[in-house]
Amino acid sequence: MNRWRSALSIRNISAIYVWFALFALFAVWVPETFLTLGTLRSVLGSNSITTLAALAVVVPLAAGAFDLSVGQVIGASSVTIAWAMSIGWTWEMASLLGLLIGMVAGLLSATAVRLGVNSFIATLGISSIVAAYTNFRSKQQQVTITDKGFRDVFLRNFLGLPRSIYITLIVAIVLWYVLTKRPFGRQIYSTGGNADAARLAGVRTHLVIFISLLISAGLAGLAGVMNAGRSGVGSPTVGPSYLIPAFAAAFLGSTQLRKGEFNVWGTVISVYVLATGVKGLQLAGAEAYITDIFSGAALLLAVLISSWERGKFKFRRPNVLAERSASRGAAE
Amino acid sequence: MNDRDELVLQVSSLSKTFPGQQALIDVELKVRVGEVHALVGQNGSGKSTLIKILSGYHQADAESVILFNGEPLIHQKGIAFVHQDLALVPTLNSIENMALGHSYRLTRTGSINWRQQHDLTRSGIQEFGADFDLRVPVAQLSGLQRTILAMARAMGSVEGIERSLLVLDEPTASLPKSEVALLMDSIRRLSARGAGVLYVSHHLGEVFDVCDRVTVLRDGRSITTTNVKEIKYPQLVKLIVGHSLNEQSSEHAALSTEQVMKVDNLAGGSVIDLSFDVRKGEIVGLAGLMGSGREQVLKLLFGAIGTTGGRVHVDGRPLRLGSPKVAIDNGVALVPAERKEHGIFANCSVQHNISLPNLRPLLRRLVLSQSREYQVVQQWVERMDLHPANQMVNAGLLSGGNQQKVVLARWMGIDLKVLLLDEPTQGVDVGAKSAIHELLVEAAKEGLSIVVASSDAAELAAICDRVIVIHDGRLGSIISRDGLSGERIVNECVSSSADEMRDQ
Repeated sequence: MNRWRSALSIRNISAIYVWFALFALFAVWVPETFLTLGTLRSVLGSNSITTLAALAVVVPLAAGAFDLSVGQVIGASSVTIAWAMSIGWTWEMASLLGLLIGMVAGLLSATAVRLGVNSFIATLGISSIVAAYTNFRSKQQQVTITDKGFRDVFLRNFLGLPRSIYITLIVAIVLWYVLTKRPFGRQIYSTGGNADAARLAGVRTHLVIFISLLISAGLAGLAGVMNAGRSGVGSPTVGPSYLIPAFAAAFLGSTQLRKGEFNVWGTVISVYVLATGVKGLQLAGAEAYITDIFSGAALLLAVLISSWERGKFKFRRPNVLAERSASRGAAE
Repeated sequence: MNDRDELVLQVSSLSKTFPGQQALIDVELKVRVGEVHALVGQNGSGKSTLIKILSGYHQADAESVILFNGEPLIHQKGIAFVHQDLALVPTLNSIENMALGHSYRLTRTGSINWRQQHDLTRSGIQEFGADFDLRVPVAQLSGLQRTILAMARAMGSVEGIERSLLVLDEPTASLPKSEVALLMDSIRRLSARGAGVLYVSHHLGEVFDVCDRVTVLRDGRSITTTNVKEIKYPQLVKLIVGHSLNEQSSEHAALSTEQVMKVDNLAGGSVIDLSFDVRKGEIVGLAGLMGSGREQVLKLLFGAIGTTGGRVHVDGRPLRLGSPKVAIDNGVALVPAERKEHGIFANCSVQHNISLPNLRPLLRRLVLSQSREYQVVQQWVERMDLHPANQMVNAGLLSGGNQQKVVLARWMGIDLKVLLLDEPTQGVDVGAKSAIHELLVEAAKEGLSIVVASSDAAELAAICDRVIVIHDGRLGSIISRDGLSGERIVNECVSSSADEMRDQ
């Protein structure tokens, strides 16, 4: 009984309550457009891509590394697929090529990090190189995909919902299993928690970070495949728009369920909370730029809340030295 | 003479109640003008709560009285604090650190008057009898120099107040033994000029060295205040712990002759050429002055830092150096000296902290078994007598002694051949210290080979079968069980360097 109460407490799943509130708000504000099956499908479906992007950044974040190249890798993957199909490849082979492009980008980032470049900088640099490739491959044009079979993989409904949702769900379950039920998950979290201590406890921290960046790039590549399939075009400009929502969801997710740890289900919930807000605002007639304001503000707020919960942020600052002794005092 | 006139600080009927817990009960503390007053007690005795009330972080309960020079204390005015971590910025130089938190003196054009700042800093450290280059980054200073700088800065904040109080919280925690005596001189200089010093330390030896009187806290109460001259070390320990400690008995089992670890010509860092061996069930101590290489030997053996030469054999098989993972796979584990930086995952549960290197046996098919993990860890929580006895709390919330037990438990569950411990009881209270010592002696009896590097000679004398004294990166001397004592170790550490000087 108690377990349920703490599981359902506001502190544990505040995002779910925010979700209800947003839902109620827009259900009252714009009922005729918001409360339709079409809206539900579109929110669930289009955000299966955002969810993949968010899960992609969660893995390296849990290991203490940033992957800022996720957005550009999504773009590169989608453009590559469209291009390959335009020169006659089957969609299966084109999709594999898209994933491969993602893995190559990940391999470059991971190698740079292994050689000692800070992950923030390494993935930023790789991001720029990937963007150049995307523009070269697409000649800065959208490339249309006509293969009906490819689009059906993601758009056709299964049990009333677009198939892309199920693909994302499977990815989420696999990641959750690896992060919480396998020794490798513990090694990821321990590396993110204290890399020096992890190394001295026998964790091969360099390898853990290397693999986490590969996983991240692979998931971004998959998100690119899904983007190409759902939108029907390979677009050189679509990728970066996923980056901020992905990080916002990952940080907001770290304040949910498993306090202070980047985790799968908190992130998935957060993607849809943010998406509900964005969709509601759009239906209520907000300008398109509102989306960017919403995502940016959500990211800042999410990071603020998560650092607050880790106790690094305090309203009261009586005296720097007293606070230092207090933070140490907590250990006594 | 009026008692009140000669008191810098008078604390009486001080209580502090936290929700569900009374941290301090009716505490009395009187610090006289010009005295160094020790405040001692185990972790959890209320020491840090008392300090935090003095520094204004906590509010004492209503009936408490805190008088400073006979007046109620207002805004901590007149009390200077130096905390354990010193709060210096390592990349800035001494002058800049001295000015942190104060305003700079300016020249007429509005730029910083560095000359004046320099003189100010110099005179500040000279009050402690020190003189060093103020323009190098603080990171390049010795521990002693940094501590003196922090004290000078603290005293700068109470300048102009005739009878001030300096609170030193574990000032020697990061100092090598050789520099502690010098710090003691500096502190005496200060008290000689009339300031009161409240000296908080786990190191009872220092209390006897430098302090005039000592107040003992236990379970939130002030047990007694007494002149240091009128009390003996064992009595003081008894007052702190509440019962007398079993100092390690010298009944060591007859040593096996089976060699478990063999180190040949180890080199790296300040270790130049070191060879020794460790037998089964033996506790080997590593002693040496700061900079002798003593601090690095274990890190080299474990692969935490890179070696430049040497061979190590474990059970006759060569051990590839340079990788902690390889060392662990070969049955060698390290409990590092810097617990917070290298030992503990503060934001992870005690459970995850303990089970991390030993997850394979917890797998049920492809999934980590939660119930099995709980059981395995719970055994260690009980055997180590952890407080709180809850494996789900974050390790960062535990006291230093309990964190050290967590790091120990992490390795005790593994099939180890050699356990390496670097400063195993630094920053650990007296009770946990003896618990850790007992545990090590126990483990050695069961056949584990242990190497302990420590700057605490008394610790080595208490638990080791053999102590290797390192000097300038080489083997200085070996002291065997008979004739092993703290004084002997210290003498060997110091004398070998004196000999060397004469030779050159």
